[in-house]
Amino acid sequence: MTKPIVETIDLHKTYMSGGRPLEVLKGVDLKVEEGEFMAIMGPSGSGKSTLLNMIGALDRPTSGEVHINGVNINKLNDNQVADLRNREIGFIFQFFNLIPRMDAQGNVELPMAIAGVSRGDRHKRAKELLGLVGLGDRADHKPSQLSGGEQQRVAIARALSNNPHILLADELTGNLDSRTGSEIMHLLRRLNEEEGKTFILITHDPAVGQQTDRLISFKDGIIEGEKKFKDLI
Amino acid sequence: MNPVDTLLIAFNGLKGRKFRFALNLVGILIGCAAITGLISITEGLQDSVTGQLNVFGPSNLIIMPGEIGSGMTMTGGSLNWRDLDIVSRVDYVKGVTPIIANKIAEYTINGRYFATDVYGVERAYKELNPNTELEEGRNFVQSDSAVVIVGANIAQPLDLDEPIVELGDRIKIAATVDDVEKELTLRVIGILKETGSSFGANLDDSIAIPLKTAQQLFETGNEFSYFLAQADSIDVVDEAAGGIEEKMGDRATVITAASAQEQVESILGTIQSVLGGIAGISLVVAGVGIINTMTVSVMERTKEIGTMKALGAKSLDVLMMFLTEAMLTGMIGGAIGAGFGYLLAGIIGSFIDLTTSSSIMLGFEVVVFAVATSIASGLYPAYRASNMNPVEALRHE
Repeated sequence: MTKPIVETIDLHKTYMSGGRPLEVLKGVDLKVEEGEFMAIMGPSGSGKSTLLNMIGALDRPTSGEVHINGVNINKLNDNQVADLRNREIGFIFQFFNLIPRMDAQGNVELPMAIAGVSRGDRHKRAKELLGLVGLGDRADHKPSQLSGGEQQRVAIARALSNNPHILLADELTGNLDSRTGSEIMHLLRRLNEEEGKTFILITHDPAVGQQTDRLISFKDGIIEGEKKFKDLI
Repeated sequence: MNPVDTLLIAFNGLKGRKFRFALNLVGILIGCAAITGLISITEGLQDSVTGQLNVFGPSNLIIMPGEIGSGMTMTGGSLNWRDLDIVSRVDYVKGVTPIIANKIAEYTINGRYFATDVYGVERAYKELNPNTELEEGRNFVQSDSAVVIVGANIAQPLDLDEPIVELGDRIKIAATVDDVEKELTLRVIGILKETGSSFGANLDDSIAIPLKTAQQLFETGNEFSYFLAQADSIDVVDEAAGGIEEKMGDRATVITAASAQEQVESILGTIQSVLGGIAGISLVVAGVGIINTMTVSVMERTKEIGTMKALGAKSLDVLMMFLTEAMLTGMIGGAIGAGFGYLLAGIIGSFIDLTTSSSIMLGFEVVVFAVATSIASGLYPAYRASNMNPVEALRHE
């Protein structure tokens, strides 16, 4: 068996809430293989977003380990973790989180600017990516001049800009109508099949969950069960 | 992140809130304009005073009766022949001459009335005062009595094309002493070159008569207004001044070009620090404005900061981004402010007929100061932004 691209080992996370500890993750063991297209589904408050933040190296666990590409992120300092997020992970948010003052091109270039990619290279790459998500002619549009679906496409292009292996999406269709949502899901599937990207989606929408290869149901901070829609090779 | 990209992102951030940026800019600008203008003017004043003091002669000393307290107030006393003798015997004093000053004479020429300052001086005065050069005629001699040497503007008032007093002319002057008007006819034996205003006297607009004549006319008895002395050389001016002060005690104050300059500089320095303090306060207020708008801006952009961090921005990247915004505000505000300051100084200078001293270096210093103030003000909000927890920042609505 190949080494998982993402692995959590007995992951615990406790927040202090109103002076009392609130255990959000209660020992999560999860393995994700490279090239998987999977979803974690659960009701709100189940801790699935917290889990995603851990996998995305945005937050650190109270106990347990998170391995990304075989690296234990607990052992990395803040700057190394930032580099990891920049190069290995692409985030796609429910509310797109585009920088309103920058046009589509500028938003897609941002992670590359952070990585220190030269102006010429990132300009070219951003153009390619906007073409890939079907927005080749919208490069100079500001987020406010784009529809929700278009904004999410820009956000997807941005997530891909440093060519990360892992893409994390938190309720990415939650703010879109069902038709646009399914178009976005098709785009992700295409990226998964053509570019071999690993996708971990967080959703509470069963329709989204059923379009993936593996669906993990999550409740009260633990994995409750798992359904496979496609045999993994 | 590369500094050019940081700069571009910061610039973009400022563009996104033009109005607030403009308000901050105005705050910085006013402070910088005030500081630049103020320093230009006071430096100009200093240059002009220094110019006048140089005319006075660096090895000259003036011995005034009494003590000069703070604020240039004189406290009583007078000088007499005995004092002159004491001063003349002090080491390093090459020569000393008594002067009767602060006297007014009136006269009428061609039906036009004049009132002018009169100095009673000895022959030595001309030798000790480097400014007194004769355009024509001669200096006083021991036997002179009813003679006068006139200043350039007396011979030819500024509004006239032709001289009204010439060598050999006779002028009848009148002076009021103890409510009694006295008259005296004087023969013009010398006309001074134009000297400009010099410390202690404006020789162009005054007349000089022999000391004895002045004593009789103004009934000054054994008292003199001040002494003019000269040290052996520039290097021993302080020693000469010290020696005189030691011998005369608190009955006299010695003024040298250097000590006068110190006095003037300390007065100008006081003015400068008071006005500079006011200008400084306006910069502090501008700084508080920057703290305020940047704090608000950081709060508004919390989610954006979270996004940047999720995309891989390091805390240092975020810190530099906000500090660069502050720096740009300071730089642009400082530069425009310094420009306005030069303009302001030029306008005020032309009103009070003063050549202001506006160096490029001053503008540069003001901009550096403005940038430092802005960065210091931006430090706290920028630190807050950089230190945000990305998860909480992303959750922020």
